[in-house]
Parts: sequence; C-alpha cells; structure tokens
Amino acid sequence: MTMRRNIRILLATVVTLVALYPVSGAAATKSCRGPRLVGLTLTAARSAARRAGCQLTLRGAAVGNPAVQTIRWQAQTSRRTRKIIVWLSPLCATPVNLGGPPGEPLHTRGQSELITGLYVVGGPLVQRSAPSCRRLEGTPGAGRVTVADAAGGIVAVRYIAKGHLVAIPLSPGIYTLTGVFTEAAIDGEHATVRESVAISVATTVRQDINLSVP
Amino acid sequence: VLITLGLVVPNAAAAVPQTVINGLLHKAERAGSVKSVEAVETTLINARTARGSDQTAAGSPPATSQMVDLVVMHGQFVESDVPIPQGAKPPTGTIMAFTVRAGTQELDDLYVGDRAPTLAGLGAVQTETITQPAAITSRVRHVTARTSKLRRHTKARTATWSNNCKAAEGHHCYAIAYWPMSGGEQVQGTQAQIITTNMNVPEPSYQFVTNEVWTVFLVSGYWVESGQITGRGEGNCCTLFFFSAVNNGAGFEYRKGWQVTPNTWNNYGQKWVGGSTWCVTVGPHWEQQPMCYAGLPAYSKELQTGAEAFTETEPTNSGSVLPNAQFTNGYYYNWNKAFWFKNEHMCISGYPPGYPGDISFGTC
Repeated sequence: MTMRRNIRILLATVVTLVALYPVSGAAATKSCRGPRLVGLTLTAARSAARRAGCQLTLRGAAVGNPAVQTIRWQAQTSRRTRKIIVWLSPLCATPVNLGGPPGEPLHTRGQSELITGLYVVGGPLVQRSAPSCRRLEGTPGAGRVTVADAAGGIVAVRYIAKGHLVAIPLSPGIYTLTGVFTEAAIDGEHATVRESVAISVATTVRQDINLSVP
Repeated sequence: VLITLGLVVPNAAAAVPQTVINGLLHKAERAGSVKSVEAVETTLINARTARGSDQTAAGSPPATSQMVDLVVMHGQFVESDVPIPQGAKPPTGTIMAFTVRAGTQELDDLYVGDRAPTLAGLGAVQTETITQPAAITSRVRHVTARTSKLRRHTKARTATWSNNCKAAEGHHCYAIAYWPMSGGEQVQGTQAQIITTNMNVPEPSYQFVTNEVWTVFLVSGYWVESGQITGRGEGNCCTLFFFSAVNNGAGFEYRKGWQVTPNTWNNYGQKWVGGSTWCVTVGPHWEQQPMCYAGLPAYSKELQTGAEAFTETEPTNSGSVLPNAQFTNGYYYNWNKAFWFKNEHMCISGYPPGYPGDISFGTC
C-alpha cells in the first residue's frame, strides 16, 4: 500500500515537473536582459527591447519621429517587471547648417580675449535629436578674421582652419570683426560678414561670425 | 660675473619660435601690459651676460653653449607669481625677461625690473610692437570647436517674432512640405511652380525670405536649391529675385539671378545631368539651365519646398508651390507623399486639388 502510494506520489511529481518545464523554459527565453539603449533611435531601441524580451516605458520628450529621436538615458532594468524606462531626446527641427552656441556674446571671467569662429547658417530643414535643441552648435568653417578697433585700425588678422575657433587676446574696448569665408561664395566672391563685439576687463568673450544663407 | 667672456654670436638665421613668444606673452600679459617684445636665440652664457646675471659665479659652471631663447618684454609689470619673503613686495619694473632653453622650452630664468638687457650682437633680434589698445597682435591659439561652457549673457538684440525662431535655431523659420524618401525611393530631379502673392522683408539689407524648392542629400549634408528671394542685400523690401545656391564639398555658393514678377507662376527646379553635376532649371518647360553645380551625389532621398525666413521682425509673405519629382526612370511624377513643417507665425495649407507637396505657405 505504502509502495503504491509512493509510486503515485512519484508519478505526480514527474507529471508536475513535465508540465512545468515548458513554462519555465519559455519564461527564460522571454526574460528581460536589459540591453543598453542609450544613443539608439527609438525605432532601433524598440527592436532591441523586443529582441531582448523587454518592454519600453517612454519618458522625456514626446515622440515626433521615432526614426530620428534618440534615447538619452535609461533606468536600471527590472528583471522582474521586464520593463525598461527610457528617456527620449526631443526632436529638433533646424537648418542643416547651424551656427555657434546660442546667446552670444557669451562672457566668462578670464583673460581679456575674443574667441570666434566662422559659421555658415541655413539651408533646408533637417530633423535632429539632442538632449537640448537649444544647445545644438554647428561646425565652424575656414576663413580669415580681421579685428579693427574703434578708430578703424586693424589690430589683428587671423586665419582659421575648418573646424576650429581662434582666440585673440584684446585689450578692453569695442571692436569690429570682419569675417571672410573661404568656403562660402556670394556671386563668385568670398562671403564677408561684419560683427561688432565689446571686450571687458578680465573677460573672455565668445562671439562668432555667422553667414546666414537660404 | 662673466662680462669678461667674449660673446659667441650664434647663427644669425636662428629665430625664436613664435609659439615660444606667444606663450611668454601670455604670461607677461598676466603680469601687466606689454608694449613691445624683443627676442633672440643665443647661448645661455651670452644671455646671462646680456642680462648681467651672476648666477654662474656662485655655482657650478653651466653648459654655456646651451642654446636659449632670450625674450624681453617692455611694458609695466608686477610679478606676483613668484615666491617672495613674507611682507616683501613683488618685483616690479618695465622689463620682463625670460630665458628659455631652446628645444625643451624649460624656463631657465625670469627677470622683472628696470634693467633692459642689450640684445645687439647676440644674433638676429626679432622685435614686435604691440599696438594699443589691442594687446597682442601675434598671438594665435587655435582651439578645436567645442561645446562652450561660457556663461550665457543676455543679448539685447535678439528680438524674434516666433518662439521657434530664436538664435538657437539660427533665426531661420520654415513653412515647407517635405518628402523624406524611404526604402528604394530616390529621385534625380524636381520641378516646381511657385507663385509669391505677398512679400515684405522689413530689413532687406541682410535678412531675407525665400520661396523655393530644395533637393537635399541628407547623408552628406549637401543640397541644391532655387527659387525666388527678397532681401539679402538685393533690392528693397519687396522686390523678388531668382536665386540658386548649393552646399557641396567645396562649401556654400549662392548666385543671384534676375528680377521676378510677383503674382505670376514661375518655374524652378534642379536635375541631375550626369556625373556629380546638378543643374538648376527654369523656363516655361524647365528647359533652361542657368547654373550647374558639381560635387553632388547622383540621387536624392529628400525634397523640400516652401518658404524660409531669416528676419529679426516678422515679415509678410504668402504664396503657393506645386512640386513634382523626376524619378530614376527619367519621368516626372507627383511626390509619393509629403509631410508639412512650420514654425510659429508661419502657416501652411494644402493647395487644391491637394497632391502631396502642393501647398500654400506664408506668415500668419
């Protein structure tokens, strides 16, 4: 009798294990392994999450263009909930060619000098993704910057390579900057743009020279 | 004191590197104002002789043939960056002289006082007068473009007429239709009929408004465009001109064309003509090619058309555009699809019967 009961218990245990095995196996394949999604577009992140058996929970900017907007940050994955919380960068609609940093002139304490670059700004519209649309900056171009004092006397001439800025030490005063863009032509002539800037004592000023184009 | 030693005149062609002078100017500027600079490459013994230094008399003889750069700043200096006894005043004077080991640029000696060393006879003396009020005319420091950490300073003249047209976005506003192609979609040209019914640019000397069509090469960031423009230093507030422009590997190029009559449908387009060349097309059947630009890919995967504005205050503009596209089989078709984009104070609506990309645009 005892023997028969033991066999029955053993059979029940085996049946239970067999019944449970496929379930636990499926759970293993669907467990969320928490792939790294930062930097991926939302479209790519969704695919990666799906492959990893995870669910995305979106925070941050509203979804405008999932093929462009990127993941800026993700919270630690909970294996139990299989959810990944990600923060989405906003969609920035800007010209293809961007200018220098916003809010110029920018002032900071330091030696009295000017930091400047040459930017061609404009062109068709393009959608980008960045943590802050306002902080987007372009790439400066090549050319020549001439600095003239208030009396019109030229006090500095600098040649700038593409992708670079130039730092020009200046005494406090008001100056006129003339930028000649070697990689931008208007009706066959190198484009020229003038900008004024005031340099204060012990202050470094960032003032770029922007050529706005259609 | 080594003044009894004869001066060894080094190679007169040797020169102090500009980078050395620039670096020392930077230091001298922090100690005061610089009026002029003299620099010479000579031997260490000659430099010490010129400055009247007696350092070698008290210690072991240095390598007197060691080449050094002797850089003398004239101006007014207070050197507070040196250790001095408590209560003592920092050295001041009209001369700041540096002796720097050639090659290693190691500072051998720094002098601040009123006694100017005599450089004549030491070699080829480089002199430079620093124009006032500008401080340094020869200092160049190239720095790689980077995200600025400078403190933001409010700019008084950033008056804008649309929240989305701030300096952060280059002050450019759009009311456009665009066709971002996907999969195997690509085109090798576009034609557009554009009419401008109203145009007023408040400050046309450098600001502008365009009604135009773009062929965009997104991967490279290049584009070619054509249409009609008011402003950009051409004409008055309201005169329209044909224009075309390109952004390719050589940079940006803009060409102004003829005056355009408002309230008329005008034809503008771009087409690939072979190799890397695209031509701008105009005329009743887009048969004229007034400008061609090289350095572009053969196919494009995005077309745009509509209005672009770059003005500090709100302009007035209204118009319509009817675009099509030249597919890779050479024939022209309507756009497969179109999306719209507009900044605040810009408006866009479908132009009947409403094929993709057919829009009316303007300010509102």
